[in-house]
Amino acid sequence: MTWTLVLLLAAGAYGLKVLGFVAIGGRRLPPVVERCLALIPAALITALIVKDTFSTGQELVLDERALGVGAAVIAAWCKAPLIVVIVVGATVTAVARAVG
Amino acid sequence: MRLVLASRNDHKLRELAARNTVYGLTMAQYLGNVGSLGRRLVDSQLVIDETTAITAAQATPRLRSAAFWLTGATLFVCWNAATLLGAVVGSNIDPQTYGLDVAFPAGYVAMVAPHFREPAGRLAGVLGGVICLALTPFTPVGVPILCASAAVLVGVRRR
Repeated sequence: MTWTLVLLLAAGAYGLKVLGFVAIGGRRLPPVVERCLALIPAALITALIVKDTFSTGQELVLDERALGVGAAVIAAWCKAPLIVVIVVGATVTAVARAVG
Repeated sequence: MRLVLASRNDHKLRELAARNTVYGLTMAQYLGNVGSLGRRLVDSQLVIDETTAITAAQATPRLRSAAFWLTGATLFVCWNAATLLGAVVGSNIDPQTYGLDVAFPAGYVAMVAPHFREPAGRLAGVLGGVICLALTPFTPVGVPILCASAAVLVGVRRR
């Protein structure tokens, strides 16, 4: 039962990737569509950040994560390397939780 | 108990996989016409948040291709190694204590930063975040992320 589910989900996940990348994505598109597609990372990754920071399930939550991600934003603004930004975000969150 | 698990997995599938279809559309613009069908079927597996963010931030096709493979391979190895490690020692540590749950959004912050240097990227990013925040209380998990795709329509206007 569990393995069937795992394999099914894996196949589904891979299928959706192929759908975008190979099936639809291979052709040349009008410039206006290409301009829009180029903005997908900015829009979706920012949405992910917002979700991971301010929500738990369907609830909007303001907690220590906001401090951690805020610190990560400052670190990224100062052009700190990826690993530094991650460590700063996690550390500030952990300290805020320990104090609060 | 089993019902809850199934529902969580269902959410995960929508949350994780559906947006990869959208990422695929972008990545195909940069990498889709490269190589054989077999190569592209392998590339598909590496399409995910991190590879999309880092690849799309590169200036030339050569750099994009290198960034895609380097990020994809690193992620694949580290993800699976860390999953194994977590499965072995996982129950002994609480990720929240060390702020590890913020490692993901913090990493995404660093990865999205280059996209925010362009005015259109900044606008699409802020709009995507607002859409996600506004929809979170009213839609199932994963849907707000997908709907945030609508923010790319700011690209319709010529820069």
